[in-house]
Amino acid sequence: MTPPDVVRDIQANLIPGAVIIPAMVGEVSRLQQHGYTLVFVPAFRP
Amino acid sequence: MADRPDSRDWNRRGFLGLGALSALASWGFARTVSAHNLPPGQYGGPAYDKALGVKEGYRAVFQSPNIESSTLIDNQLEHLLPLQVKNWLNGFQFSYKTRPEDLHVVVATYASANLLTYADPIWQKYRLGEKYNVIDSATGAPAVRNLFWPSRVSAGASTDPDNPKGIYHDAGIEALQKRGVLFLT
Repeated sequence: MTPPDVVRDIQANLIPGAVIIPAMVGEVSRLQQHGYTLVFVPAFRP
Repeated sequence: MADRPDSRDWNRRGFLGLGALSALASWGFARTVSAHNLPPGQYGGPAYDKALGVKEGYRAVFQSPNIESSTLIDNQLEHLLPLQVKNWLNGFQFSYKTRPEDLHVVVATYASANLLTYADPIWQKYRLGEKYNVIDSATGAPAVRNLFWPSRVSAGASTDPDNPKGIYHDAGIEALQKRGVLFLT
């Protein structure tokens, strides 16, 4: 399998309702500009 | 396994390609996989457009890079992100008496937390449980399914917010989606 094959495989097998976006850092900026407050979930290792 | 890709090493690189390309450099894969830009039409959708268009109510974007942020609760492996989303929703809905339709949550996973949005065939094919030490308590073996997605309660479960077995204490991603939470990947 080539890298694009793997990406296509994953894109075809997401959980129902998941939305593909270009880059998460960009989306976080967009969402904050649209009034969404950022909540960062920290690393958690009990 | 017949449907397993030819190169296991490749698999583990490749799964990062979706929504996590920017993280590849920090994971040491930049020489083998480079980021690329998705053209218009290959991302987003009506649900996300609607979320971006919300003008009122409480809005939050929850972000996590760590699939490792998980712990066993009542023999159920839970990830901290869905737990915090559930608590956020319940706090506003039941303590501050905010209407559910005024609560808007988007989840932004990246790096290994993207695994939260991968369906069972990907977990099985690329052996993600083995790679990330996600253990299925039902089998005692590395997970070959997305343990974080399914709802933890069955149809007809209690709607009492104080019932720990009720729908409002369900931190399964499926249950949160039913409450309007949108998951990006």
